[in-house]
Amino acid sequence: MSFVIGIGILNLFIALGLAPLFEGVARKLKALVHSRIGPPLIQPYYDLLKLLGKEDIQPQGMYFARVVPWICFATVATAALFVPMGTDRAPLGAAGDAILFIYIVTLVAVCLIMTAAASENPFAFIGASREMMLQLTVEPVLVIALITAALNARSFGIGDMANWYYFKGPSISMLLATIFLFLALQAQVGKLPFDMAEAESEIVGGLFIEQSGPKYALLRWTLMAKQIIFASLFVQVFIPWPRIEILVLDILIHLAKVLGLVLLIGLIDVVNPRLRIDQAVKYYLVLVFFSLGAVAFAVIGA
Amino acid sequence: MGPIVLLFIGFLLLVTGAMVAIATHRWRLVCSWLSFVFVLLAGGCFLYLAILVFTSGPIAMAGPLLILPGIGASLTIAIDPLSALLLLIVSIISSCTTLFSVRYTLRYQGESLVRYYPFLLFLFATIVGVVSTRDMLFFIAFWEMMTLASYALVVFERGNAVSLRAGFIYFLVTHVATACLVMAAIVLYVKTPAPHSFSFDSLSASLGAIVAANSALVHLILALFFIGFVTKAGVLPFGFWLPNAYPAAPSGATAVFAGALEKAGIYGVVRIFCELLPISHYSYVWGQVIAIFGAISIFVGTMSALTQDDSKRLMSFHAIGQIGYMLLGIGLGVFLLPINPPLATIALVAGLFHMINHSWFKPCLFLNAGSILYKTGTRDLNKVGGLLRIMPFTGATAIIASLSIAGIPPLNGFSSKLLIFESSIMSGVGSPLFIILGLVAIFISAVTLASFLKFLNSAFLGKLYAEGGIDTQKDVPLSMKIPQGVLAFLCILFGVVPLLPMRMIHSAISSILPANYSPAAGFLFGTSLPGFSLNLGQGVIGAWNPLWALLAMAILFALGFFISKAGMARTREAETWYGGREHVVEHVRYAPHSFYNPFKQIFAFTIKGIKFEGMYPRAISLPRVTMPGRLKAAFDIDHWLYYPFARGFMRLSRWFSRVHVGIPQVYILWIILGVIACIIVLFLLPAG
Amino acid sequence: MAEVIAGGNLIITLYLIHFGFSLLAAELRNLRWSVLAITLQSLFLASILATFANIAANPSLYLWSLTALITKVMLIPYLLWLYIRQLPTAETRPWLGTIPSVAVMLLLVVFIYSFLHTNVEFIAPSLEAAVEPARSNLALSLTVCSLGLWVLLVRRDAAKAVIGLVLLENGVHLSLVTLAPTLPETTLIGIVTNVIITVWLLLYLAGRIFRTLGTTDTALLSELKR
Repeated sequence: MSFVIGIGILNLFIALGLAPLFEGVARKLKALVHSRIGPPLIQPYYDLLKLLGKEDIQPQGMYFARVVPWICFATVATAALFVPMGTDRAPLGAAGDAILFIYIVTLVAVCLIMTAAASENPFAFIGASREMMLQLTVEPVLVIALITAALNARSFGIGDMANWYYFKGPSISMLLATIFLFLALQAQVGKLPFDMAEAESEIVGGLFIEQSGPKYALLRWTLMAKQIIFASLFVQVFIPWPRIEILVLDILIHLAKVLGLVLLIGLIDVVNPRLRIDQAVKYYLVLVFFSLGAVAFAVIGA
Repeated sequence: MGPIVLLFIGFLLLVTGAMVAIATHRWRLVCSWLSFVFVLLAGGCFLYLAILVFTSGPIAMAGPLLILPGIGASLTIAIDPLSALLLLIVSIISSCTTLFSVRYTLRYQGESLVRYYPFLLFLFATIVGVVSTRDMLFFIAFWEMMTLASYALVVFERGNAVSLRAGFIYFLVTHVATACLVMAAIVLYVKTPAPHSFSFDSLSASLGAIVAANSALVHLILALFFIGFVTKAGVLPFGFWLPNAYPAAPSGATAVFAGALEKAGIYGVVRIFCELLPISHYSYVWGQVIAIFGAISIFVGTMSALTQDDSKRLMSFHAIGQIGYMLLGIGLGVFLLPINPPLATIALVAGLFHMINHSWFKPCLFLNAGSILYKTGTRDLNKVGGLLRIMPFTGATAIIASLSIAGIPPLNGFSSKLLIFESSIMSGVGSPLFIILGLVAIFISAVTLASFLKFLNSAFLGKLYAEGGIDTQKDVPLSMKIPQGVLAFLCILFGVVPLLPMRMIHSAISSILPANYSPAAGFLFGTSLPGFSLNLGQGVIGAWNPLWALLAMAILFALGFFISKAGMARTREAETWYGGREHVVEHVRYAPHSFYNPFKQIFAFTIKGIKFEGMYPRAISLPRVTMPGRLKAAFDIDHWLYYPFARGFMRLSRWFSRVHVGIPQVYILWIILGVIACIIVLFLLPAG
Repeated sequence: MAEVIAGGNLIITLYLIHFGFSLLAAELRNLRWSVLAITLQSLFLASILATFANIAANPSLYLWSLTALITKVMLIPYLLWLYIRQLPTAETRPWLGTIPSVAVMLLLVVFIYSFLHTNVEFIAPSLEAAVEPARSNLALSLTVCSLGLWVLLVRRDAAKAVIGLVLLENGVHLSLVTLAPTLPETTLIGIVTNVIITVWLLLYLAGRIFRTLGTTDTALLSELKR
């Protein structure tokens, strides 16, 4: 029980507290690539604080729309509790496994989409439609990667998968799964070239066009946290080395790996243009098809 | 008599209710409310009986109710936990949909209620009959009556040619299916040792004998049974009648179809493949067949649902898809029975759990579509929008039911889908086919979510819009809100406390499998009440504990709330800004048919002139078959048998009518001749 | 014996006259003369009955004779006259001409009489009825019956058919003497009343037919449908 609460708070700290920092790092990287100096590393914190104090403009009469952003935030924070971050199992790992994680992340997307739809703006609907299509086609890749791990580990618990991989060492199926999951990661975190759901200039902010003030702060925070959570999942399951049995060091190693991944994601984000939604859909459907190869290898046992 | 008398009371209440409905059909509200009262009482009996069976074991009647000695059929009534599951479903669905229909049928002013309530109550009674009998002949008899009652409900709108055609196709297809059932039953019956008997036990023994003899007859029998049951359940490609027939019936009846009638098909499949079929190598083949058909259904059904804009048709395609999930679970279980009993049990529990969950959220969705239809007069999603503003309760239940069907935690759909996924992936270690099927299932789960988000976004969220004006004052009447609320509540309940229904289903499965075959529920699923953890014997492989997740979410929700309020930002209400121009609603709303356009385009193709949208043909035109001329002439009995006969007869009678010349003397002559003839005859008689 | 023979001779004479008048009534084409003939035939019928009363020493037969006299000689001719007066005198032309008709009738009569006279055992109720004069009575009466039937069937005129009916009835009445000598009086009155009413009704109908169609030809009765 103390494990649950202690590590839970730690996970929340990393996912919520440190997420803006990682976002700041990514923005700094972007600026450096653009040959700018860029904002300070803690700029996202300032942004969130500023937004918290801004006026909250709500659509008339739709009480549902006012509640959904909080549900969004709560969901993503709960998702953080199901992913081990440096520890060998997640705080709520006994209450949920990999499939649950996939669905909680889907629930985050659902809440985002419903927020968008509740705002009545057609741009928001376009963003919602695109977000759903993206989720639709990216999720199988995520699922296949996790299933590969599950088949190998004979269990669905994320901690079990990580443990198994740590002890087994690299194998073809897992390497393939790593590659495919990495390719899917970009869309999951909503960065270029796959950020068409929230295309700033094309559909005026898409999903978040009608959000303002504290709610917008929560939603931005959600996106940042989502990035960290996915990165944590990827790093924990597919790159479990090295592992020292001391808790603090493990967490630091984990954070370092997440940082490396965030930098990589940021780099890809900077140098790529935005794809159209149909291009993205086709891209991922083809990826799904190829990722079945990873599963095949897992079934053979390689 | 014992508690079984409740079954009879319930049945009699339903039949009496049907007759009362016939008697009072002219006074619409009276008829509706009386029917509801009868159904509620009967539902209460069935619910109590089901709970009794779950807590204290199967209940059977000592002797058969009715014996037909010549044929060897006897109406033995027994409620085992599997039947109790269906009784539970029927009891709740019946009450909810009848209550919904009370106000809903006011929409059908031109149609007489005598064609609705009696058939509805009769349908409930026959479903109860189907699940409570242990004799094949009476099973088929009740099955047939069920089909007839549902047909009558499908063609309720007599003036609507589309409904009539849909009902006709439904009638035809299900009768072909019933013919398959009858054939299979008779083949088995003939093989039972003399004296032949139709009871499940003796049919099971005869099937076991055939299996032991290793003949191909087993495949024929199982194929016939399978076709018979899945046609009723609506599995593609046998269930092609479903997307046309379901929207044709009134929403209350459609909810019953989706909630209870399809489940009768699944019940049949489980009975045949788990109870009647002994565990043998045939289970391998047929498990895979069932699972493959399930996967086809899942894929094609849900993909084509993406392209639908008619709310009820959308739901119908999803019904096909969800039935596929159930079949996937059951097929997987049947497949695994010989090789991995614990995993097989989990898979069977998964399939049946999804069956129960489906019975809560699908009727709720159909009732939602019915509420939309009631309020706005249209089923076309392109013509309505933003209804959450005026129908908050209906919208809330729609959201809950949509998220349930999409399998979003912590609602009930997630629990059953989790079980299906995990069991299919885990079984994939031995046979890769099921991994593919499991992946299809997961992918389609996302597609389901997409489809229902489209439904929610276009119907309930967004800008308020209804072509043709709408009464913006109040939601649908209370009698229509309560059923939706009850069903949504059950979705939440079964989602938050999944272990309770899983135990019930586990007892159902273990009671029909051979004794001590499946591990105990506590071992398989863990013992903490709200959640479950799957254990195949080598440690926990998967877990889901809704309460912890909900608790975490609640705490974090509060956290988010406080953080957002901590900034002390002002709030202001404002209308959405559309660029500052004058606009009408149609110009600024995002229509449902625009959703997912790129995705739809990928899955649209044309084969030989039939357009496939989302993998389902746009219009199925049955091939035109003309009979050869000679055959037609041979079949024209009127021409060569009846007309010559009639003409000859007319000639003969005209010849006889010449007797009547109109001259009295001739008549007198005839009389005299007759008298003389009589006298002669009398003289000639032996006794004199 | 002589009385018997004498009575027998009387009877035979009466028989012959009776029969002659029957033939006349059957054949005569003039309706009024036919009615006359039948009246006379009935008169001789009554006398035959009286004679029988004498011979057979059956006093109730006197009453029979009286009844016959009143009804058949007075009432029925009265009715006949009443109605036939309105009809044309000549009967509608029958299918057979006079001579062929007479020939056929004679043949018929002879044939039937001889047949009956020889085979009377079939019909005779008791032994004494098989003896003369009951035997001849039986034969004769049934011959008259068949003659009346023949007229009824063959003649086209409706009124003639009624006359044929009367002939038939007379023949039956006569045969009753032999067939049922102990018939009570009331029965007889009932029978006779029946005859009267039948005849009256038929005559009335004939009159109406005549008034509606202008003819009493039974072959044209189907015209009444229009």
